[in-house]
Amino acid sequence: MSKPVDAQRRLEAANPVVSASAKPATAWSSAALLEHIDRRSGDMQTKETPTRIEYEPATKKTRKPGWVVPVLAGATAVIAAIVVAAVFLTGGEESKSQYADAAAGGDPQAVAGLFADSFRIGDVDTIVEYLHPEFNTREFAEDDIGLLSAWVEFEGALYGRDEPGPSTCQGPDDGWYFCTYVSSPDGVLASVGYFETTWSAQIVDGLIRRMDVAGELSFAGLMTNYVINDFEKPLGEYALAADPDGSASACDVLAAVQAGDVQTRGVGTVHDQACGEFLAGFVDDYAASLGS
Amino acid sequence: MAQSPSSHAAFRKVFDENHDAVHMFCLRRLNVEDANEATADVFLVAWRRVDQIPSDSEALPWLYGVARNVVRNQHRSRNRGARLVARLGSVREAPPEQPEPQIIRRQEEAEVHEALGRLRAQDQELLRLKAWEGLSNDQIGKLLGMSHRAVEGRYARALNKLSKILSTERQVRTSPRLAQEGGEQ
Repeated sequence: MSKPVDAQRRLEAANPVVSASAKPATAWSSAALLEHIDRRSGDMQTKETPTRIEYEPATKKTRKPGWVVPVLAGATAVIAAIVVAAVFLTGGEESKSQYADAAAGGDPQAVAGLFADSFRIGDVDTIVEYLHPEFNTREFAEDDIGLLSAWVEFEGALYGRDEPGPSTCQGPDDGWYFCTYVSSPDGVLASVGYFETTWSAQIVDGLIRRMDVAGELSFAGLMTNYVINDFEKPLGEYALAADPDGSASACDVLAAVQAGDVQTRGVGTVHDQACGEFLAGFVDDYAASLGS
Repeated sequence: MAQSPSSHAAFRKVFDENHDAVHMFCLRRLNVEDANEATADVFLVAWRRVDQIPSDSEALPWLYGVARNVVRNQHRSRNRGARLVARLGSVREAPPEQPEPQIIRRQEEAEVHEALGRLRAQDQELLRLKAWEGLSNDQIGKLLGMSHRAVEGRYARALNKLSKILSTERQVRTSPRLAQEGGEQ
């Protein structure tokens, strides 16, 4: 019978790289690393990041598994809480975008421009106003970024707007709108990771229905991975166990914003009772798992 | 690079003192090519946030925190086609983090890596951080977002699980031979 002390010894002995001299021959030298970093940092200080905006004229109806709903509702409620906090923290700061009037008329390019402008100045209130009721929900089970990246980027609106840049949009080009904005080099998320923003979005009926990260994930994936591995997966497991028949699907994002009791990440409050109870159970379990 | 000379000097200090450790961290979890890229990514973050890097002995745990996310991003990017990780529907474990097969030198090591891969992702990471990176419970706690006491308890449980898996695998490996020997008598 192997003992823990033996396991520890074997684990230590199984260290694949015990010292710098044991690095494989193909590992980069410090000079090669520096050269690579220098080249990339030079690129990234000033570059404008393309944003791909897809205009989809018709809403596709797709069926998602029942259990997805509470998960999405829970995660979306967290986003909503963050959004609420963002609105609170920004103190309602607003400046009217040149796209505002046209966006109000439903022009997708203007909506894209308005989003970029709003994101740039951290005007989450306007962003929320232009979210489709089905924002990121229907595609979520089919898209591996979707809602999570939106969360990341909303946090970007909270933390990463120190260096605003210009936003411009062109299109349509084969059904896509292309926008650019300067990504903030100061995006800070939960003390680790940096993100640059490359967006892909669908605009339906003049509203943003879906957003995700297009192209190279780069640092945008850092926080996304945190969310996926450390939060969303446990949330999904909790949903399967706590609500196998999807009865918490009554959870409504706006209701969650307007009512409820669950403290979320210390920045916001979720108030819908159904959502609140659902999330409260998860938060307790999650906190217990972290502390166990 | 467009930062001030003092920032540049600070970055070089952090790089010179820590790049080997960060590179090894990545090599322990990724193939060599990805580990090279991941190490560069970590220091790119460090370059951009050089004024936020803790000083001296706290710099390396901070870099490990970034590296941990970069490594996971590498895994996820590589497996993006399969979309295993992010689908809530699947609720499956992320693919195990593994170094280059060639640098796992012996069967003994391969067994340990295989057993390690059967633990929960966070338990795997906790064991690696302790056994391979040599971090303290306090440092691991900061990285994984738990108290040092929780790290202590969780480490003991994870090690216990690893021990049981290794023990079970040994029995599985030896039992056919024993059975065969028994049949020949």
